[in-house]
Amino acid sequence: MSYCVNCGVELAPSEPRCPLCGTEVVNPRKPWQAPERTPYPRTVEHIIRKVDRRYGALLAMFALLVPVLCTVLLDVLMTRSFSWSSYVVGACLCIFIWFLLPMLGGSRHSPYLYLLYDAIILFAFLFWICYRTVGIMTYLTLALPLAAVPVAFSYGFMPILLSRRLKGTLYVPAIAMFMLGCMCVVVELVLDLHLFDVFEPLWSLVVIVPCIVIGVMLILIEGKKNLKDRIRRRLFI
Amino acid sequence: MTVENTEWMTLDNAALIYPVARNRNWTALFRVSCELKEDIDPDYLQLALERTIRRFPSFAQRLRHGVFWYYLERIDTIPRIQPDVANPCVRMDFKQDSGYMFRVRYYGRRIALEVFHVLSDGTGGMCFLKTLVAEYLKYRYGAMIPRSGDIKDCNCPSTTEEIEDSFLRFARNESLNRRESPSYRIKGAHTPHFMNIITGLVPVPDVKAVAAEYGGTVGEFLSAVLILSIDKLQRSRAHGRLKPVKVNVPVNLRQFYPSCTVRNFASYVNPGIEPRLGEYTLRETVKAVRSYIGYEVTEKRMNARFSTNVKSAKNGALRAAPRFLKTWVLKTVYLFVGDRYSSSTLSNLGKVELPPEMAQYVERLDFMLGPLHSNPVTCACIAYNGKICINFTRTIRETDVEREFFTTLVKLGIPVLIESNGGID
Repeated sequence: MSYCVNCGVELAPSEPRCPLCGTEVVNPRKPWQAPERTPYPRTVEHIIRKVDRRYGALLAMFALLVPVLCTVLLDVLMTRSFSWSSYVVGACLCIFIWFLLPMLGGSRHSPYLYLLYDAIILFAFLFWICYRTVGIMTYLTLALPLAAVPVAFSYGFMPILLSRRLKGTLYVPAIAMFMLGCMCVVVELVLDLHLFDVFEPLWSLVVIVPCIVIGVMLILIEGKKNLKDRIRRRLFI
Repeated sequence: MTVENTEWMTLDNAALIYPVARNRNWTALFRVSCELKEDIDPDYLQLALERTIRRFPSFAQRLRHGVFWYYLERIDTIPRIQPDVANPCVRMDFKQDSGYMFRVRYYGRRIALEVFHVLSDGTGGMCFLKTLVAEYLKYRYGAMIPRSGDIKDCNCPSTTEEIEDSFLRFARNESLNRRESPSYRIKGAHTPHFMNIITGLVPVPDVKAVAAEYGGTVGEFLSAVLILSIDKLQRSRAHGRLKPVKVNVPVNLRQFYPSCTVRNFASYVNPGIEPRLGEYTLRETVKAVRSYIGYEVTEKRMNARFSTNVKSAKNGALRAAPRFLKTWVLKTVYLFVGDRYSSSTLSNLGKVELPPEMAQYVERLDFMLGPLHSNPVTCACIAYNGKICINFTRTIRETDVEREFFTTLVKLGIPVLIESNGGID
């Protein structure tokens, strides 16, 4: 039989600390030992949110078909060819691959595979636009490297996002901030080399500095559990 | 009169709001449980449940969407018992288990019943649990338990009186304005989908003696202690004007009417204090609660209270409005008004007595409320076997209210034994 020295209540044998104030049970004569059976089992029931994403994706897919069919029909009727409507078809295809395909496929397939599909459709769509407008050279020197930058960074960020050890910590948004800053620098590098043949960082520095500051702040907050708790308490909705 | 057709039934007047107010994270649940002296045998419990559910047709119902109202539809399958969990009263998924809106759980020596408020209130839930336990004891130990009152005979069919909507039967024309001032709302860091439970066991004679010393009944005294605990919390946190501290106290209407329904038949009152007028002592608070309850909890005023709801539900325009419109309006109203008039809830099932043939197997009874829509701390009490079991349930991390409540009891010389579900950590 133990009492909380802080609250004065008797504590059941199952309580290693007072549930009211958190004070640990210290009984020199009888150190606390976990009883065979606690008042409640340890199994926690989790709510499984069954949002029917597949159904939603199917609905959205049919909704996408409306602009596709309308524009193709108008294009064919007006110009007797498949010209400007190809951009609308390409954009809708991108939306389908980027957003609806993961909803339809669910978690059965690897996220890396979805990312690969995303990259392929992006490269293909840009190629088609360049082929029809500015030419293949611009695609190779500008559009392709610019598209490759977010793809490469996404592949780099994916293991961090999927890491169980980092899940729920502020390290994930901190790393995202660092990578976002770096990505801007690389984008400016590609643009500068294409336009001026020389790299002179300017606007990307304006982006990378706050990104680094915010990232460091997030890491520092993650290190201080009390501060994190206080912020969570103040910001809860 | 025996029940002839339970193919479908309308929701009782108090239940109308619960399907509307529920959301993806929350359903209004309560839990009653019974601890026996030996471990539970799941096979016998399943058998007992199969027998009991046939005796309670109003529990074997699933919620259906009508064009104008929600309604209940009979389920013919048998519900399955489930192992208990660390976080009871988690939102129910009505697509599982054939759509049953209650669940029977077992753990060690305990049988627990969690019920969605659409089906029944605490008294009805306790009636179901008592019958279930009596059936279990009959099959497990061959106990011959006399069936009367709350312990139903599963060999007899249910009666229409047991599944009636007593609100409709006893409502009169006079209604009462329910407008009140909003009360202080307890805040804290939320623990989503985890209900923290702190149980305090206190001896009935000690509480009775102290309550009598302060001039109140046990229920009034505990309500006063809870009000003062919340008041202290408000004073320690508030920076501006102090808000009224009120506690929602459900009132069993069966004490006023000859009703034997096992569906909802309860109303509520909100006793409280005005902290801006000064610091109340415990004696003053007990007096305030006693005066308020004495004035409000009378047949006349309680009838006028629930007649207001019945009158609203009978309104032609409201009845003719499609369900989606009603849902939208009522949900919005509930969001703004719901728990606004009280800081917490104290539901007291009172003293429960069992026949000696059953009492020899039963060690303890528990009663707890699931999380409320907006108020994060609730309290439920039940007295059995010389002990009052006070269950605090909360969906925030902070234990200030419970701590103040139980330490007040300790300071008044009442011994308190505390146990918990371990909290979210």
